[in-house]
Amino acid sequence: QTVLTLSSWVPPAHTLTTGQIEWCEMLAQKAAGKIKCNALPRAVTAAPGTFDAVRNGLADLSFTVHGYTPGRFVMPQMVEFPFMGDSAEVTSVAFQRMYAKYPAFAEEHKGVKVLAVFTHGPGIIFNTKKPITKADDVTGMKFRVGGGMVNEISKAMGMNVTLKPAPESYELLSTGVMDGTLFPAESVEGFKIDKVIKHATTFPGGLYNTSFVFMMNQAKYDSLPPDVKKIVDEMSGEFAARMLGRGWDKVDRRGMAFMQAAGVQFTKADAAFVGAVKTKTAGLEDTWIKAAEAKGLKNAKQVLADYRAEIAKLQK
Amino acid sequence: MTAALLGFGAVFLLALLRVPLAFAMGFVGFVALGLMRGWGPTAASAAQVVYDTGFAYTLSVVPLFILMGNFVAKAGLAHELFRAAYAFIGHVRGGLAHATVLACAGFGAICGSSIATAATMSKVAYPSMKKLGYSDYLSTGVIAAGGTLGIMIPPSTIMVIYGIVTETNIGKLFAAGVIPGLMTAAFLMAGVSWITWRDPQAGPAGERSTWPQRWAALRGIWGVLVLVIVVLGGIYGGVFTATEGAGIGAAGAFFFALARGALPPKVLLQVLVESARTTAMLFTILIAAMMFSNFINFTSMPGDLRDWITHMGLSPVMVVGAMMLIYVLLGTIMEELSMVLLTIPVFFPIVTALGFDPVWFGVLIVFVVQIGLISPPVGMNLFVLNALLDDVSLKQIFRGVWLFVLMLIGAMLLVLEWPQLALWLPGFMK
Amino acid sequence: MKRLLDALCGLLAGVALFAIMALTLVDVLGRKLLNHSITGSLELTEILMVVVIFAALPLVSLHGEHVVFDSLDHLMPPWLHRLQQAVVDLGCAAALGGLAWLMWEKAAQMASYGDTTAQLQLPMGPFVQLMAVLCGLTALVHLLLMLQPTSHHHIGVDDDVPAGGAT
Ligand code: NA
Ligand code: NA
Repeated sequence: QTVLTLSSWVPPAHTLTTGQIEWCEMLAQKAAGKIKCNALPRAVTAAPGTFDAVRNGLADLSFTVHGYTPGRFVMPQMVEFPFMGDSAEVTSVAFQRMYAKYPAFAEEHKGVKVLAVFTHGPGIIFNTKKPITKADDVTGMKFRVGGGMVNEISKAMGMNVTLKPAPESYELLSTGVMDGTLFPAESVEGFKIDKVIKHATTFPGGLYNTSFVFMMNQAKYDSLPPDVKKIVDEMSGEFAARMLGRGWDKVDRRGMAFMQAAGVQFTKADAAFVGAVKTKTAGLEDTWIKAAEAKGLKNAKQVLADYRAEIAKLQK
Repeated sequence: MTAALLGFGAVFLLALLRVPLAFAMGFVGFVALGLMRGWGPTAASAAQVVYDTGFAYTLSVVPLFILMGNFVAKAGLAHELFRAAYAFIGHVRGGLAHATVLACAGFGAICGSSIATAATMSKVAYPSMKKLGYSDYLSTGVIAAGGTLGIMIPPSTIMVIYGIVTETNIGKLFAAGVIPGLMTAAFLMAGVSWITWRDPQAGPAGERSTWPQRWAALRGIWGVLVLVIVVLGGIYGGVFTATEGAGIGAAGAFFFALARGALPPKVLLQVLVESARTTAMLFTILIAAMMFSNFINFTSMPGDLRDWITHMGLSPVMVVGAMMLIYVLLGTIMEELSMVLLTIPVFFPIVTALGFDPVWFGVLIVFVVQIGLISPPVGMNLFVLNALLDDVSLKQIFRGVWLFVLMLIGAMLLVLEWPQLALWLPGFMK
Repeated sequence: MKRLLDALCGLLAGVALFAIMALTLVDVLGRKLLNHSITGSLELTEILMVVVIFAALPLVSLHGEHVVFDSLDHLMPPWLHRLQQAVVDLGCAAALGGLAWLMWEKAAQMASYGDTTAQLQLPMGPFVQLMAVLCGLTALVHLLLMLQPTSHHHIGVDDDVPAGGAT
């Protein structure tokens, strides 16, 4: 029997931990017990070291955020641009299809066996001060952001941005050091900021979607018996992307209900606001296209359009 | 389970053979993980641990709080605290010892380390007590024990480290330490009264100060108050985070010492380098403890221990009580930071699974560290005093401290029984 | 030799620590008064932390400030104690040398990935190389200690500055 060591850097009850465990159990069942997972009580390393931990074989199975190792991944930034999609399931499947279609994506993930790439749900602007209804409202307000494209988007929008770890959100917001943060709906519950935030501004398609990769150690994968390998292959790609994306949609909905119960005021960005964000962030796409082409993705503009078309097709 | 126990045993053995503790933990952790997971992954993991711990933003509070304490010591604030306390309470039996406890509490409010508090106070309070004919066992005992207030009264470096490894709110931990800290001070003063009641020669009364003298002495401690208000007020008032508060506190202490002319360039560099060296020493322990707990993570110990405790049928509070007993016993022979870092990955999940507040458990952890620091035979505060005071033997220090160990245990039991003592104040935070 | 090491590493670590303090102060003041925080203050703090820790590490070893159980020392004849110390220092040198090599490899790996910091986009490789070099230097210090042993120094017991630890 093969044992896969599973390491997860989010809490045991988080959808990404339970999602991975669910994936493992399904795998064990399909392979009739020839393989199983051993979920470690604690992650083998902090989030940014996870890609290397899987590549080096310290853990066999884990996931990470591409943006946590700045400079390493250019291609996945594509899925983090504004207004990509309201459903993590849809954007995850579309992202996975792009990954399979354009080899430049896999090129950046050399050294690990990628099981799936996926995204979280639509990114929302949360704050403790006032309803944000137009683009000018955010100028001068202090926001905490994590890494990745969200950093560029918020800067382009004129926010006063500070990069701080997500677990510090509660402290930063409750003490008034920061005025707000950018998160998907799920994280409000996860980082316990529901009692602190007063206002939320949602965007059609989300302000951003963070990209993730779910991966296995390459040597471990290579050592699997052919029949088990085949099952792993079947459960990779779109299957896993859909499963993890769907899991995220579920907790996003729960987070929304949670916030409504906590009395958070919601604002839906109107057409003028969306237009203003589009203008302000238009330069980011050009920058990405250049960077992606320099790193070997041919006709990056077309790939981006392809991704958007795929999402539109899936949403139907 | 066996693998984990062998690992712990190997660390102890190497430490007894005089291998620096950090190297013992790191080495055992590395070899054990290598045997379990293969050498390639283990080597990569070791490098990753060093990298993660080095580039850790939240850990920057550690050197900054150390630096703040060192600037404050240089500025001579400890003398003024001691003088003020003495002006009010010096005339009672054991008055200097009582004043030492109060000054330790005040100094603790601007210094995050027990060892630094004890070391500073030994220079401030010991000579006065010697001059008045205090017994060495009382004066050293009270300095060693009073020094531990440095980590219960915020800011506290050990609380920061606990907060970081368990992802507990550091601001709440700080608030939670205030009442137990003041309570501990009261317990220590009760201990002084007991000793001087049994042995009046141990701590004769001093002269009574006049009220004008008292007011004058009180005016001398405004610097301490300003620093406390700036750091704690800034953290709770939303001007900066607890992480940033350490930097602001260090900067405040720096300007204060500078204004007093206590920081010529040479001394400044010396303070900075000493603080950096202490930091490096602590981080070697941190890194090594992480390597060791990476190995423990792969063993069955955390799960086995959890099962064992749940099958014991103890009440939840008894489970925590049993943990405290283990800690107090371990603390007599272990260095406390590594003790906490090694056991937290095993104990903490059990405590949270039982539904206890991590903030409360954090305060209990600080208590066991306090106790370990002054419980013979291996207690850092005792060693520090022994090294700093040439004419006092370790035997004398051991003799004086046991009553204060009991006092700390008493204070800890109260907080164990009534969690509100710790949790009431942080309850006011949003 | 010892003095040169003290001066160089001390200056490096001391200046870096002062810089973290100043950076925090300026960052907070800027955010409060000018409504603008310093770009990349977090990653600068992290890099400076690495300099503080690893530049001071050779000095910790040089002055015998690692936590050691020396309670049994008086039970041993001096020659045995001397031998034991030499063996321990050799082991420490080997461990640190190995670590230096691992960090050097990691630096190369990160450089090949093009890893940078998030906001200032500084390449990470050189800083990890610096960690490796300073670990290597500490290994050399332990080799030096085999020839010229130092007595153990309980930290916080310096004559002038009570540099207390976390506890
Ligand atoms: Na303190
Ligand atoms: Na101890």
